[in-house]
Amino acid sequence: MREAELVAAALAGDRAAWRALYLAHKDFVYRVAVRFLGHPDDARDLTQDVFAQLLAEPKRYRPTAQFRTWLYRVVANRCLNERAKVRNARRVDDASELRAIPDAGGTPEERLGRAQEQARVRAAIAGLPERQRLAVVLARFEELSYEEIAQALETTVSSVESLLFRGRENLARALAPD
Amino acid sequence: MLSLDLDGRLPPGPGARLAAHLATCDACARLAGALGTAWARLDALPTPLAAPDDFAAILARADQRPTGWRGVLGGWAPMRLGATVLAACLVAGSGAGIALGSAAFGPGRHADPLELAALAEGFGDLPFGSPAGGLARALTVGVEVRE
Ligand SMILES: [Zn+2]
Repeated sequence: MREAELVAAALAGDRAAWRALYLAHKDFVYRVAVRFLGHPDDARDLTQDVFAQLLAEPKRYRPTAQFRTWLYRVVANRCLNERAKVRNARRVDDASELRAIPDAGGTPEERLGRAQEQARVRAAIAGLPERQRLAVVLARFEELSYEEIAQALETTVSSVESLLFRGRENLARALAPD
Repeated sequence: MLSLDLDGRLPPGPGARLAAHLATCDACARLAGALGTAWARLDALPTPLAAPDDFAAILARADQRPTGWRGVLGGWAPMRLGATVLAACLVAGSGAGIALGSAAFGPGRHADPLELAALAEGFGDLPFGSPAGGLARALTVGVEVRE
């Protein structure tokens, strides 16, 4: 079944079709949320909420748009709203970063070095203004095109160019040697 | 402009002019290097694990939302599940291919003042390597963090 048919079935009330769409797209939503929010628990919560919203409000879907485009938009909206909600409730703390490091071999010094680099990169991403951060996550990790990012953020391609340029500058500054 | 170049979105003409400029301008070359290095360092982050299958929890959440989904989801059809999941896997595969392959050259728009400055510099409207007018500003003076 093509995705368009799957979406049509889902909108017509086919629960199995919804489940199939969920299984096909849940990892994308979760990855974006983890990288944007920085916390797996928050990301899992956001992922559930995104699909609950799709299920609850299917009439907001415009059949002229690709399902994927619709999903990008919902994810972007939820990320930006979620961030405002949890901004002051949580801080990236170094201890949790260190616990998240997979034990991938090497000497203890090498593992510590990797852990520190990850913590630094996470902090640099977390320090970006929200729209820059979301554009960076979608471009760098999900390899979305500028056009797709523009659709997700409901903005223009030239504004995406600008967000990514400033995002790169800010990352370069945050990651520059002291 | 450098950002577009790093993403392979500069058309051949401006791309060649930028490359020629970077070969002769230390400041812009340094900035280009810093942007590229920072981007590459994001590789340090591990790929998140797959999301757990929370479909049951999602149905419960959707049920709690004001609009509800019961009317929409009347047609529970267990026998179609296998075929549908299989189709979803195929869709996921081709969808990813489309997403990865869809980047196309866009028009050469330069919304940022710094990009305009770099463009002017690259096209010879400003002296090459001009520390006040070039992209070097971004590293030496810094630009405001803004959206
Ligand atoms: Zn220069």
